[in-house]
Amino acid sequence: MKKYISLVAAALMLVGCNNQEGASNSESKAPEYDRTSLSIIAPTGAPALAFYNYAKVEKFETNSNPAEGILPLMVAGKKDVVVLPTNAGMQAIINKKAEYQIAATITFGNFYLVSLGNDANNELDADDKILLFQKGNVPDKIFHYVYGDTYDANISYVSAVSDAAAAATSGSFVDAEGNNVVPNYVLLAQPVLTNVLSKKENVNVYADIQAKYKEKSNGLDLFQASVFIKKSVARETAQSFLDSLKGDIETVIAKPETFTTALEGIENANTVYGIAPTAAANVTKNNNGMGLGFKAAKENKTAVENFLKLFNIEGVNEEVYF
Amino acid sequence: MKKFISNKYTLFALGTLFVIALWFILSACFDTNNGIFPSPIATFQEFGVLLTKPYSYQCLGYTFLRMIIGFAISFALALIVGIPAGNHSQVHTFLKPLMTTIKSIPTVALVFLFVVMVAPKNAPIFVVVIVCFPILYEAVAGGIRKVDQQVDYAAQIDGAGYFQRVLFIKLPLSIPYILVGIASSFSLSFKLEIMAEVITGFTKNGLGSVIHFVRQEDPTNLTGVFAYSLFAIIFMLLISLLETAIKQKFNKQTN
Repeated sequence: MKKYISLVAAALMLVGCNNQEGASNSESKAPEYDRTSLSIIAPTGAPALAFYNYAKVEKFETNSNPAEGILPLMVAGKKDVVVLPTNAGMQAIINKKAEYQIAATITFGNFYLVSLGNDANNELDADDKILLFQKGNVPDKIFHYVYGDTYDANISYVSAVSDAAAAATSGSFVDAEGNNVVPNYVLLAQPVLTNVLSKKENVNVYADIQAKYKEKSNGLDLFQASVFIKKSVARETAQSFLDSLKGDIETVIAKPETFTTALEGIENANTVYGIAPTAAANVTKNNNGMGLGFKAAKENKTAVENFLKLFNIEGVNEEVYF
Repeated sequence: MKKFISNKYTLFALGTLFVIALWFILSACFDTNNGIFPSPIATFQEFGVLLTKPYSYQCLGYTFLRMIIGFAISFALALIVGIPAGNHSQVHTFLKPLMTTIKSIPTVALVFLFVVMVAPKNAPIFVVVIVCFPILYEAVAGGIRKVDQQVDYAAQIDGAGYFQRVLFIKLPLSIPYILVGIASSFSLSFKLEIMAEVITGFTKNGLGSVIHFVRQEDPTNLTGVFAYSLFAIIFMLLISLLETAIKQKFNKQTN
């Protein structure tokens, strides 16, 4: 009998040791993030591309109309993770009391001022006609931050980057009053910029707006679109999601072809991401043209707040940061 | 010759040729940039490419499925509300303010409410419901109200109960009106579904999503947008032909 008891005791000890070993292993290495665990929504384009590994995830969705299709969902707290322009997300948290925290910024600007090759002195000055898009929003605010109001008398607006691209390609556009205007400079964003450049030989990049922004901000990056995490999400889950996302972004910046390999065979990849995977890879190869990256918001408060100042958002509470 | 010209198939073919000729003229006038107003030739070429892609059919299928769901909900609601409203003028009067509100409210104002309530994926279904329901309701209620009272009295004298008269006399007699309501709202609901997919920014399978993407991808060339629209038009044309065939069969049976 004693023999049996000692055998059972030895077996129990072994099991116990084995479990302890397992526990110490899990402590040393964080569990890999399960991509199906959080519901995520992102705007199409560069921010959505950061989630190239989520194409088959049911709980991941994108929207091509962030102001109407994403912002209301954030205010209503419908998603665990929301990706939005940093200013829009912060305004939802501050003004609409959305229960989210800013975790990280994943896109750092993809704006370029292009010259249509019809400016006699090839120098942006007050008599040149400039076409911007999204009056009062990010592109307009950044242009004015970089160039001030010197050119305001000759600035016209269209509603979307697609309209600005159409104007750059055709060489003219019809303004709000119905006049046909021939612009000298047009503000564009990637990836449509690549498309325009491939079609029009005389169009060329006059200024990299991100670089100008950085120059004016003493080296601070343009914290354009950020990841906002719902406060109710467990901190460990949120952190492992962020670590996984960071890894995904770093991988694709180092090897842009990852877009095509990850999205191969996914029929609706074009519509879901708002850009064809091959085009995304080509633009990223060209000096990370989509402006992808990953920077934790809390560690870059100065840069975040510098960007928010453009929208008169100041004195951001510490609790807003993840 | 006169017979040939007045033949309905000849007229239909001539009408189609007129549309294509008009399209050619408009394209020649406005297509300053080879794509902003694509010609029928460029559009049909692109359309040919779309026909070879299984994804086009997938998008069409999903859009049609969502539209059918929205239409079915509208029709069910129209029957539930329209039958009592058609039989009792008090119910009809009571529902008038509600129906006027639903009919007059700008759809776009509700789209964003639906986005929050039922997610962008399902919002287009409810857009279809909000537009089609009042049309179908009027068709059901109006059809029942137009049934000759004498027929109702005769059935009553013959001993038919209230539900028997409604279900077996009034409702079948109002079918022509209901069919008119269905015909006028069916094509409209397909257009609405596509429009709502674009407005809500929904990006998974759907004709609206793919039209939006094609426009975003190359804003200077609308050939893709026109080709997908042609895809939708031809599909609806086939549906309307089917609808006409069913109507003709029904008319033959009732005569």
